[in-house]
Amino acid sequence: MLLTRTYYPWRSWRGALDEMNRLRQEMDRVLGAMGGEYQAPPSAGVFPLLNVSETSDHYLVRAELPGVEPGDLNLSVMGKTLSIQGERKPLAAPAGARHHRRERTFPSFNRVIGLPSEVDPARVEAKCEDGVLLIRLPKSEAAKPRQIAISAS
Amino acid sequence: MSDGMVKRDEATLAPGAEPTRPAPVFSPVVDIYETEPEMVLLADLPGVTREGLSIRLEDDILTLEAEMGDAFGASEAPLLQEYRTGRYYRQFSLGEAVDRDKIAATLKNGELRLVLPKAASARPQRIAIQAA
Repeated sequence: MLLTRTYYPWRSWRGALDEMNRLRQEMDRVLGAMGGEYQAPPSAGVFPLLNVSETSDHYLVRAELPGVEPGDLNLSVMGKTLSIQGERKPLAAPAGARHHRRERTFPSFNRVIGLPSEVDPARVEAKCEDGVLLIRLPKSEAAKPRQIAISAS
Repeated sequence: MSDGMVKRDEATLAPGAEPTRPAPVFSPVVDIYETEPEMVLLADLPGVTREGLSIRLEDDILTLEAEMGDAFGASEAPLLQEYRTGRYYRQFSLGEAVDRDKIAATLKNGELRLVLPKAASARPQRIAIQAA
């Protein structure tokens, strides 16, 4: 019997689906790189919008929350899950004020996201700066990349 | 707008104007109210520092222009980007005369508060009616 070592993803229907997904992600990446910028599909009713990134030892989560005081926020971390809960308190206009425009919103929110790997809840830091919330979540030791030394035989 | 949805329209620059660097331009959301002595403009400008904000009043046109910080730090690898960063730009035409020397602006937690006191000539004045 002839055995090949070529990866053949269409062996099963599940493999085909995985392959389609991989292809779609790759197309998104390439098109995004060509356009200079790739915008995630806008998600209606989801608040706050989040930007998530990673370094070798941290995940960083940013949210635009203008006018939100740190005391009005409630963050919690469990395993891979981060939850951001809070509200924006409106500034009261003085009595007798006539409004010309009222475009800003003052929502209560509760958003939960899953992180790619576990974080160390004891060392999570968060700060609000210029209306942007920045959460630094240190990856747990098991999730950090490790250099593996190759010993010469 | 009450469902907590954030509205961030892309603004249109003045005809013929072109941004100097290729960043998206957004129109910030504002509240404007008026009391007897002043007009107050409140704008949401998350990610904007004092240095990055410019407010100009030329003739009757009030211009807000601001730079947001970058979406990610230099050493970070993006995993998910739901909002973009760039510049804020919006112009207002002021209908009423404003006392230009007394305009005050404060920026706190990404919220701009701009107080425009009305010029004495624009304030409502009570006219005494004399008995004939």
